[in-house]
This record gives sequence, C-alpha cells and structure tokens, in this order.
Amino acid sequence: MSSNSISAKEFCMHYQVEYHFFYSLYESGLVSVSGDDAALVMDEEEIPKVEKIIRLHEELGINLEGIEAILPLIEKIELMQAELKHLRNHLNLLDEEKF
Amino acid sequence: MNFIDYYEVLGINKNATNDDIKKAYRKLARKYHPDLNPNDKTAHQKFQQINEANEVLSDPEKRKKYDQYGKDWKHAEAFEEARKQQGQHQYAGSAGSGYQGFTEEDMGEGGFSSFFESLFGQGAGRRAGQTKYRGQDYHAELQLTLQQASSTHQQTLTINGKNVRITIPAGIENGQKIKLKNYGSPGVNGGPNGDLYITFSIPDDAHIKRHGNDLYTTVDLDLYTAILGGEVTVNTLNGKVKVKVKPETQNGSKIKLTGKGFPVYKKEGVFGNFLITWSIKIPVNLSDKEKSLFEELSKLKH
Repeated sequence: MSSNSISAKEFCMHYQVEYHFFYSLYESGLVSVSGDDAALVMDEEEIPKVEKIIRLHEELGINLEGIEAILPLIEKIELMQAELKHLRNHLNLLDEEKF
Repeated sequence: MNFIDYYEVLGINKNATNDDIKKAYRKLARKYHPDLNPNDKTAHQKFQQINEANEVLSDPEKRKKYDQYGKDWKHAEAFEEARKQQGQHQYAGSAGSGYQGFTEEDMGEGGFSSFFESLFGQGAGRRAGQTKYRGQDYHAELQLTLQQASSTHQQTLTINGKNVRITIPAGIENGQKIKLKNYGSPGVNGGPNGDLYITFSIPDDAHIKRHGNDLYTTVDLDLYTAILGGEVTVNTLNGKVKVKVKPETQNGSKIKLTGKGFPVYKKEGVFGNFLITWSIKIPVNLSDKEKSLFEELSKLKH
C-alpha cells in the first residue's frame, strides 16, 4: 500500500524541530527516510513514531540514546500485553472447567 | 467534584519554586507518560492529573488564583468574570467528546477535571497534543457479544458527530485491536488524518465459552440417553444442531463437532471446532417401580 510522503524540511517546519534533530534521528536509524542528504523524504507512515520521539524528547527530556533504548522496550511491552491477554482468555476457560 | 491539592499531586510544598515544580513534574511525567505506559489506563489518568497540576502551578497567574481562591472554588460567582474571558479561548469542537457507546481514553484531548474547569473555565487548559500536521489518533473500546463477533458485520459508530460505518470481520478476538486508517482527527496544514484504534471487548456467552477458534459448551444428558445412546438438540451460537449420543457415554466425556466452532479471523469459510462436554443427570424422586428396577439391574451387574 503506497502512501504519501513528507520532506524533512516541511516536517521540521510543522513540528518546530531543528533540522539537525531530524537528521540525527535518521543517522541513528530511528526513522527510515529516503532521498539524499540534501532532500530527505519520509513516509507519512513514520510520522506517529517521530511524533512519539519528539514527545519523549521535549516533554520528558530524554536524549536520543535513551529513546533508542526505550522504543524497543515499549514494543516488547505491547507484544507481551497481547500475549498476556491471549493467555488470560485461555485461563478463563480453564478456570471454568475446574469449578 | 472535590478540591484538588495540586501541590500534593506533584509532591511539593506550597513554597516550591518554578524550578522545583518543573523538576517534580518531569520526574512524575517520566513515570506515567502514556508513551511509556501503553494500554495502561491508571497511568494515563495519573498523567492527566500531573499535567493538570503542572498546568496550574507552572503558570504564575493560574497559580496565584489557585492559591487565593482554590479552596473556595464553590463560590463560583467570583470566578464568573474570569471564566467569561477565558472562555474566548475555547477551542471549537473538542475532539474525542462525541463518542457513543464506547469509552475514549486518548490523552491530550482536553481531559481536565471539573474542579479545574470551574476555577479557570472550560478550555482554559493548553492542550498537550495539539495537532501540528498529522491529526491525532483516537482510541476507543467497543463491546461485542460472542454472537456479534461470530459474523462479519457492519456497525455505525458516532465519532465527533460524524457517523462512521465500519466492517467488523468475523472471528475477532477478545482484546484485539484494529486500526482504521484516517478515521482519527483531521490533519492540519495538509497533513494526513490520524487513525482510529478500536479495542474489542468480547465477554463469554453464558453457556458458550470460546478459546481461540474453538467453542466449548456443557450439555446436560439424561441417564437413559447416556446409557442407551440417542440424539439430543444442542444450542450453538447460530441456532440448534442435532447431536448423536453414543451408547454408554461417560459423564464428563467430550465430543467434537469439527468445523462447527468460531470463524477464523480473516479466513473465509474456515471454522474452529465445537466441543461438547456431557453432564449426565442422575434421575431423582424415583418411583417404587423405578427403584426396584434399578435394584434388579444392580444385582445383574458383577
């Protein structure tokens, strides 16, 4: 499914972030972008993730290294929550059987 | 509506400096920020409280007013004038307030206490996640019966006054989350809309339990059918089925009706199994004749 993209420059303008901040996201591999260094372009699908990074950075004062460590942990938590939910659904049934 | 001690919320004393407030807020926000606490309603609520406390105490004007009148917030008349002025900043069409039939838990959508609003007026709070380009995501919870979840069907939801018709595929699981692209709040400056996330809550039916794609039920069986075999009618999610009972069926034994279970999510025509556990009922209030016949039987055996 193809979607729209947004240039790094435009993104920085709308979100009031410095270009070098965006560039460091790209360098650290936190966001995937295309195009060349002079005109980076990002898929709109990436926006929610970058918004989250900006929130973590601005609202909580977490630096990029910290964010790099946190994001995979959050993903892991979400996976584990899904698994836990699945197991709980199963457990309900077993509890019923025991009575 | 109760008085809220914002100093207590942030764990600081009344003489706290702006720097103390900022530090206390940051520390608590790191603990309860929704981005760091996915799917955790308690943390989200806590974060909202911290945010509100910070909103008041970090703003010198609001803090002054709170310190002066906060305890007497019930004398609303005194604040009427201020409220009118503040009211001008009210944002149009507060997002997330128009949900119907399900609860909205998104942060940054207003979400201030009535105490706050009575003191400072509605809409006096800065909105944390104001849209800059891409619209905000909405999060909603929708409850379905097991029966509803067993067929692909359409439902109309009202989101911010707009009717949205969505198709719910058969076989969705309890706790499953689906994303509806572009159904979130509208973007600004040509940005894309946010997405709508719906989490499904599907409680078990009173008689039919679900595990994955299999359905489980317990059916009462009279002693005679259990011993001699026969046929009984069993309720499934979509009507009754006739089920053969083997002679000498044991109490607690199970039979499996292959392909009569729950539809498999996004696999049309594929179904799980329907499992029946027999619960044999021993006859009670036996007549003399029945009793003597059972006695005869018991002598025959062994």
